[in-house]
Amino acid sequence: MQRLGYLGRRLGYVLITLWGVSLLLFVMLQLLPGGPAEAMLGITATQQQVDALNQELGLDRPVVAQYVDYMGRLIRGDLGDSLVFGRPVVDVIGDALPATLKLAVYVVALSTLSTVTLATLAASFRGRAIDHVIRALPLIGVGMPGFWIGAMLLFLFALTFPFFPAGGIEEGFAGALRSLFLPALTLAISVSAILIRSLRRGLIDVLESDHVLTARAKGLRGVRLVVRHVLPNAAIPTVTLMGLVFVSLLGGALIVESVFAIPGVGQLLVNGFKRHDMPLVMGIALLSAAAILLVNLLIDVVYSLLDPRVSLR
Amino acid sequence: MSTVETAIVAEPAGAEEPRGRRRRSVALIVGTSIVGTYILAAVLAPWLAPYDPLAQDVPNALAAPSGSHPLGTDHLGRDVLSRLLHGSRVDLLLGMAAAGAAGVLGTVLGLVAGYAGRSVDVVVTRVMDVVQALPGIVLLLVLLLVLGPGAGSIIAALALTGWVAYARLVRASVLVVRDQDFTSAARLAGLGHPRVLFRHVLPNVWIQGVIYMTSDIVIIIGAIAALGYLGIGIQAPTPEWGQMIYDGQAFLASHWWLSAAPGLAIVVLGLGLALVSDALTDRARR
Repeated sequence: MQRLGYLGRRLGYVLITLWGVSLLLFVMLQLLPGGPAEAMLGITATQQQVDALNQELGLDRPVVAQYVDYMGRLIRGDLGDSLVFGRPVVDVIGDALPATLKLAVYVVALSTLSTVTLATLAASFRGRAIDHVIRALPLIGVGMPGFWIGAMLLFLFALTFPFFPAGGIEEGFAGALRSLFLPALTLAISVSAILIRSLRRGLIDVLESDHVLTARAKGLRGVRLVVRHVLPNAAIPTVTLMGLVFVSLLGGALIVESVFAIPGVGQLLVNGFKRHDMPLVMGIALLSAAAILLVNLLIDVVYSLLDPRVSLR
Repeated sequence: MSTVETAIVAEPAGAEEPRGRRRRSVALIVGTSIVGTYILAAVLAPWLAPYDPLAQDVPNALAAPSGSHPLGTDHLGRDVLSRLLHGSRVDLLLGMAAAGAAGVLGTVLGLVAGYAGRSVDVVVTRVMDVVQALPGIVLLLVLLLVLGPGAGSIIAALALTGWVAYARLVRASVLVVRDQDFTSAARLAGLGHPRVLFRHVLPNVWIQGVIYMTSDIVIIIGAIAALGYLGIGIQAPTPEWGQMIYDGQAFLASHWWLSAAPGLAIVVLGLGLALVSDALTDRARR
């Protein structure tokens, strides 16, 4: 019961924030230099064309009426039509979404694998050379722009040693696995840079705790000890970072897609920006905000389930 | 984008290691030297650069590194080393200006939110939630659509995206300082709110923002370079690292150094700033 009330409040908060995002975007639309129609048509447009588009979009009406109209369409899930594609924004994004989602799932798998492996190594050999090397990695990784890591991986493993294709997505599961490896690795490097430190800290804390001492006293050693008794507890603080990771993952994916010519939402965003396709850019902004808020909500719930000490206020 | 950095900064760096303290001061020296070298290179670029960064020499395009061109030439025959040096002016200056603007905006809003409390606090906190619900790059693009191209717009857009982290840090510190005795004493002595805020509260909270700024600059320079790479940042032919990485990518197979060099410039600068930031965080903790 307590949990339901908590969920309800959090969901209400998500909706309020999402409404704030939509309001922000509406204000941006109003602030566009020369109005949305002129920004969309470009400076070569005649006044007649601008007037016609304004009328078509309902932009000749008072701001309040426009806002009511805008919110009405949003609630029905209508994000308007893309100017470049001439189709509903929802459909255009829907077509590009699978590529981005495949990439995201891949990144989560790769970064979990590398974070757990490296953090466990560092914590197990605490203070030794391998620990110092692993702890130095995030310092370098943080300053590395994702698109540059991508370009360098492209040079090394697609051009110099052609293990992987240089861009795009190949058909089928194996094809996707192979062609998305380099972009996923690019993002996994940045993501792991955030997580390794946190997980190492958590591991060290748990390794020194009483229940691990007990497990050791009972003769448990090595991998079995870490997997059964240490990791589940050590991972809890790191879960709270996953929200931040998701935001950086989403932002990073949008750029890395351009490096590897992946036909996903990121390419859509960049092309939409370059061609002043305001409805498309706004739609991507709104949907990514919705995704981020929902993922954060999910993380809060998972966190409260993992750690019973978290109060549900 | 910048919230990610908060997590890293917030991590106690090496505090648990027994010999950590000495290592920290070494880190601070190395980090400061790296950052200092970059600032010197940016200031002295016109004298250090062997060529005009904009001078084209098409017959000599895509030359390999040699004595006369230590990093070779790009696809228009421009000297890469000269462009790299002049690029440090663009990226470093824009990065520092944007981080500074974000820092000032965030500090002021964080101060006001934490000090005023109640409805003002609620409004500012809600706005922060809204801004952080959008991925940095997406909000950046939306703002740039509105503000138009140009260096001023890029700085403004980055400041409007990046202020939230500063505001959160400062607001949290203000909440602690607000109810301490010296603040109450200042208020009871009859000082006005602005004076209490800027003379008594601000000196106790600004250091948090400055420490965060050292690592925020890396993130911001990364964003500027990303815009340049996507072809929507500082416009050509102005030398800018991200744009240079993009220009070089077409020739990766034969001329990898064209993209590698500007990227390495960002990575080493990032390492230097991260070392400084870590050492400062550690110092502030004690």
